[in-house]
Amino acid sequence: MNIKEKIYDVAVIGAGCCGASIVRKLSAYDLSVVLLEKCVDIGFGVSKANSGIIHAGFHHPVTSLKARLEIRGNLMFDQLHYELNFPFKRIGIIVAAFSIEEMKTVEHLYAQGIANGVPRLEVCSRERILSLEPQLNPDVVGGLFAPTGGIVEPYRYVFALVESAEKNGVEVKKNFTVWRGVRKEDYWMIESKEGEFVKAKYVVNSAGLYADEVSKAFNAEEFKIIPRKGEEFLLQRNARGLPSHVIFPVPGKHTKGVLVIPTVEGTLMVGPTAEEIEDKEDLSTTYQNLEKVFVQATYMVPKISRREIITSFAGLRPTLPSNDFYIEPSKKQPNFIQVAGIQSPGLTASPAIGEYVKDILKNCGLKLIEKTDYDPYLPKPVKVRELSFEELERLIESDPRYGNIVCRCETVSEAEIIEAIRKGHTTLDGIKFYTRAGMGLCQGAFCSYRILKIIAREVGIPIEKITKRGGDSWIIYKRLQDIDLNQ
Amino acid sequence: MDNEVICLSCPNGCRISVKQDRNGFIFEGAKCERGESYAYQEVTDPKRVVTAVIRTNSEILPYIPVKTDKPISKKYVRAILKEIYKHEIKLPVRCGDVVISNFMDTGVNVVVTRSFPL
Amino acid sequence: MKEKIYDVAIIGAGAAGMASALEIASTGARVVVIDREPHLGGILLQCIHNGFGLHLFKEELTGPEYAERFISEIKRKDIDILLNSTATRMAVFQTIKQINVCSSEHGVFKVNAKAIVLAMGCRERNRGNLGIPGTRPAGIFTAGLAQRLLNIDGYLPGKRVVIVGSGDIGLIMARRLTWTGAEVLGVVEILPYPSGLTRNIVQCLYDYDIPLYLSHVITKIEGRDRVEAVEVTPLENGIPNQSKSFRIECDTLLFSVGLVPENELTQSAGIKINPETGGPIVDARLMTSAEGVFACGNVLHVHDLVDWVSQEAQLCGKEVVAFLEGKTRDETQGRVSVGANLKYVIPNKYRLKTKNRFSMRALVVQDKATLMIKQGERVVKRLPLRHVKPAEMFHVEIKSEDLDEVYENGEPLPLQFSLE
Repeated sequence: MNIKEKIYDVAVIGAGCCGASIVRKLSAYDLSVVLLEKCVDIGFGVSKANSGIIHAGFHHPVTSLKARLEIRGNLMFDQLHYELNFPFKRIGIIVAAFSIEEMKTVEHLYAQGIANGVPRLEVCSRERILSLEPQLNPDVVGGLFAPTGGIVEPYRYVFALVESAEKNGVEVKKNFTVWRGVRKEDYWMIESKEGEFVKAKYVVNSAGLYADEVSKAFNAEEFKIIPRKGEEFLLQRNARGLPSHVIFPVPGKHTKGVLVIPTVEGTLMVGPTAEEIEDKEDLSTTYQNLEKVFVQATYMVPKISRREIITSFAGLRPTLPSNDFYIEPSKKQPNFIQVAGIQSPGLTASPAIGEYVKDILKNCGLKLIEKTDYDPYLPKPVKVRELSFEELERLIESDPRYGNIVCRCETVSEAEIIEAIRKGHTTLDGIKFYTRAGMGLCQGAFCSYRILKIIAREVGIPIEKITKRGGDSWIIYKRLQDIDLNQ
Repeated sequence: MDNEVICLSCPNGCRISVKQDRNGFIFEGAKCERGESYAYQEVTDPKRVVTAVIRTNSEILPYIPVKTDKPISKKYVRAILKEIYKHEIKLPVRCGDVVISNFMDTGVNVVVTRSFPL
Repeated sequence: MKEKIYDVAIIGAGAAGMASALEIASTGARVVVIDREPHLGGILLQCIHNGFGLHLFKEELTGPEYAERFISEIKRKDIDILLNSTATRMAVFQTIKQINVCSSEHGVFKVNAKAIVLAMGCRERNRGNLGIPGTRPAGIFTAGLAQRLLNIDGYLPGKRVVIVGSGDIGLIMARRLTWTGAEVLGVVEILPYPSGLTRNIVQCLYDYDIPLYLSHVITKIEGRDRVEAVEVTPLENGIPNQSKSFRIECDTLLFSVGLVPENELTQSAGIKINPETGGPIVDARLMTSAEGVFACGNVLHVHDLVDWVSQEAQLCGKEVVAFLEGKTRDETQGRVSVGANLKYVIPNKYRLKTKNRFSMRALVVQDKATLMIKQGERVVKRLPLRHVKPAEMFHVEIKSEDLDEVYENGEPLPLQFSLE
């Protein structure tokens, strides 16, 4: 059969944590699956700016779909971590209360958590909470402790899911911006803005911020995704205020508030803000929000210092007016599954969403036959930073490029950069998210030129063609020898 | 012609105003004589040392730094840069090797400022 | 090659590392210099402009020429050089100090030494450290990275450039970019006065009519993929007045907003850091809180002139030699305390019966200041200074005869520095 004529069983639109979980789940079955992504790399949309928290499941009432999937998702992470080796730790979540009023909310959260089936929840006295987390402001009056909460590196998580899916036969098409879907006799013809075509019997719309537009492009339900912006600030490793748990304030009406998050990699993140905006590409940060975040964060953890900021960034949560997830087959179009409004706790819920969507597809008539050669495992990626002297010694003997440290702040070797390129991450940001090179204190001042040269050599393109993250994000204007001073 | 020159002869950095009448230049604001002669040079024929890099024939070190061995008239700066960018030199080079000699009869040479290999 | 043994291991082959290596090797000690780059010389190699060496060599050199003076001497001496080699970890035991070194050529190995000289230099503060609002497009560079790309690799980072901060690297890059055909549209400085040298303001900006916006800040970076514009806002009474903001369309933004000593390795060995300098706390021997580990140059505190770096490193080298010979083992030292209007004084201790040399920075901008140095209540020195500002480091020497041998709890009386 001609490749052009190939009709996939399932096309999943959007390579964020949901799309990645869905294709990875489907890769266990005898199906042909394609993952379509408009960006130059996977996880470059909503997921890359995720806070990386695996929520425990006490924030939302069990009546909501998101609470059910959140709890189920949380439970699935140990197995996933075991199979896929992405950075993940169950360090526990603390909700810190600073008044008797707030303690009432804590008790409500506790009751809600218990009703949801969250294991080992604990309402804590002041003494108990301070002994758990000595970084807390001593004015704390008590709080909630959820030991099953955790942290994950969100981009590594998405990369691992997609790598595993690819290993089991899923195809990935990047730079594929879905423009329209046309229903043919028994399949969908998906056209991209870039002029490509993909045919598939079933389509899953997990397009994040653009799920509304994709739905429209398929003549399915009309709805509106409202981006809710969150600004976050990253502080250096061994920051003085680094706690050992994720710390939440007592939640307000609409958001979970500004959090203090120790990342899996040992840095410290504070944020996010929550602000509904119009523009789906607006990832700008503001000075006012920096102020706001630090006032709130230092109230909970006084030792947090602005002087330790490495960088700031913003992410957008794709929300729906219902504030719940919208995961169901389209009522207007056949074999078109909506996975929209996946805001917080979407990352936590994502493994359960994968499973849930698989069941929906099955109910829609997709035949699921388990593969006999399905391999759920990925090897642990080599990180020079984490190796012992002896391990590194052996590794450099087998490949000397492990001895060439390219990023000094995060101790990333040339071999790790090459591995990232080999896996298809050929932009500066792609390599940064895959390897952490350029993510440290100097923010790439010492390593970017080295990485540019490695990309140019490995991919075989001139340095002027390399981008930060695709599109028009060029880095180098010209080579000196091509400059004309007469211009 | 009215002009202001910041003297760079010493860290004082005097701001010297320069006026011209039929009899020549009038300098005001210099705390010492060096300032006046500096200002005179600046308004009549300011000179600068130019530094740049020149392409080499090597991939290990694709560019090598150069400088003018003495200050050159500002009016020639662009011209000498164009000339420098036209050149390609073969390694090895020694610090002080002349790449362009007596540029446009100014007596200024362009010399290499890094030996390679060293 | 699993272990190598030396008298002294020096981390960093820039100005500080090279000068201290020469000083120590001249006594016959076995010295190794470790650097991650493929060449000796450090950042000097990318500083192709002139203006180096006026104090040390009494002539004006470019960065590579200045470096070469040291490199040629090092090559003549019996000094081991480990290039393309990254020091990844440092451990301090009682008599032996150990550095893990990693390279493609030699693999990973341990360097054991009786003494270590930290000479890793500094890194640049960046956009993230400043928390400048706006988007995060491509086209944002530190001035030093742009300098490296242009002067070593021959890559022009952009064609319409705005420079943030009026530090010398930024000013030098303004001229350098202009000379490469790029358009530099302005230099934006938060302070009411420029941070760089007057000479650079004149020869790098005024010569090319590049506007210098003093008391201005960048209030927004625009552009989704690549930088498209910045919003510049004047400060009035220290507060940005957004009604007077203006926009500059550009594709590149360079940050020249200060340097920070590079001490992650130092901290990994548990060595104490001075929050004012970002460098280790050192005693009168330039020895850190770890016995036998010394520091000099920009890793200790950021210098304005490379000449001062070399000088401090030579001094440090002499102290390392004295330490190896056991001459300074039981020395008593007094504290140095930093008083009014001073940001820091280096070193953090002093000693009697010998000349002491101090480097310091003011916290304030002031004409006709006086540096007061007191030992207890007694004024040791009163030094008039024509002009002080935080951007300019200054030095003072105190002769041994000016110091009293007065002790308090077994320690010489603290030496108190202040600026009036």
